[in-house]
Amino acid sequence: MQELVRLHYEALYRYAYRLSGSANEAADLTQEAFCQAQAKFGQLRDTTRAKAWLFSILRNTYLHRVRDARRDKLVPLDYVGDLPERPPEQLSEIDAQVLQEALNQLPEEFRSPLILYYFDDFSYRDIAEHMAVPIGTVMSRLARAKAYLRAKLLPVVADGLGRGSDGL
Amino acid sequence: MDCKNARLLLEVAHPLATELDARDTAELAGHLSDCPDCGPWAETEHRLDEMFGNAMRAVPVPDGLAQRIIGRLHVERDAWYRGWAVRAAGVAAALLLTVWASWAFWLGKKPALDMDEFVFETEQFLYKPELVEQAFAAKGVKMLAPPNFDYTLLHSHGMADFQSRRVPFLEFFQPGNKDVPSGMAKVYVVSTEQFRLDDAKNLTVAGSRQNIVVRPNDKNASFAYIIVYPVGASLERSFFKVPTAPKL
Repeated sequence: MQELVRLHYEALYRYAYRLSGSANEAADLTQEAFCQAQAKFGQLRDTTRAKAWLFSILRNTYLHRVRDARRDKLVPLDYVGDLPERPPEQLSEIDAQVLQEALNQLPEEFRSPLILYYFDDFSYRDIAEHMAVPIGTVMSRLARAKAYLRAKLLPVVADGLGRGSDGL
Repeated sequence: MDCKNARLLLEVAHPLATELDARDTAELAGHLSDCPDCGPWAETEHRLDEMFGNAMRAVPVPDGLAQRIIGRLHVERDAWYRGWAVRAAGVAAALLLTVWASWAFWLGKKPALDMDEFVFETEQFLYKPELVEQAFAAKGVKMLAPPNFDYTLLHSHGMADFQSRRVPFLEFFQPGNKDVPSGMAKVYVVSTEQFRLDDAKNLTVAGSRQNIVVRPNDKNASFAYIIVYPVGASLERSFFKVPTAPKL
């Protein structure tokens, strides 16, 4: 179990942080996920899938907490369109706080695939298994979430004013 | 490949290339290198993804988090073991309580001394074999009493150990007179329910102090009798019923 901690705790913490938007909650979620993993260790049949298994445990832990606290902000994405035909040419660094605020406003079913997509370690198939949804649903949610994120962040990036978009 | 298809394939080309097969990958690469619109568009998309990806992954991990996690895992594991020990102790205590309660119950079930019943049993005058059989049957023991004995000489009856089995047991006491010496004959009643009686033929074993005879029941081969009586005594004369002469 200590080897699993050593290998995956950083990735798990980053995922937890992006999900919850809080460093304290992320640390707590990460610890809780490993504790649950220790208790359910016998259920891990394929050790090569340990990382995906841990991510699933963490997500379930987070969802339970959110449901218990009824604090998830379910922002509808009805007004978010597809990706822009041509993204802005001028790109600069993304403000970490603005990024997290934008993520916090996304419903979890859009937020999780977006985080996992940008973590690079997860294919669409992995994300679909993680979310227990069809792969087409993952692609659809990703497209809308990316469009939302760009609508929120690219104006800031483009003009450097630190002003968020009201594109929702 | 046209621009529309190229844009669609670009959607599934990230983050890992496993979603596209080799032919689609090659066709997409060819289109992007030739198309003046899609090439730069894909390049910008790629840069945007990189930028968002870098920002998404740029989460500083607190120092000592791994140690805190491992420490908590130890605590949880110890708590689990303690919980297990408590549960095991609880089960053991419950078992102990059950055993104690059963024992106490059995203790409560022990009968009190009933002298009336004891006197009744000892005072019974079982002067013929049928009465002896009824007395044993009343205690749940099926037996055939040995025929020929003089049951007025029956001194006691009960159960006795014979080759590690509990068998019906009779004692006949001959007080003695001018014709026969005094002495005691003991009879063990054995049956095919407890022993193999194939070899239980008429047999006499002369000992130094007592004689031992084996007598099968002539009418029911399921029973036989092991009879022990003093050396010098005659089984028939000392303990058997004297046949009465028919009245003329």
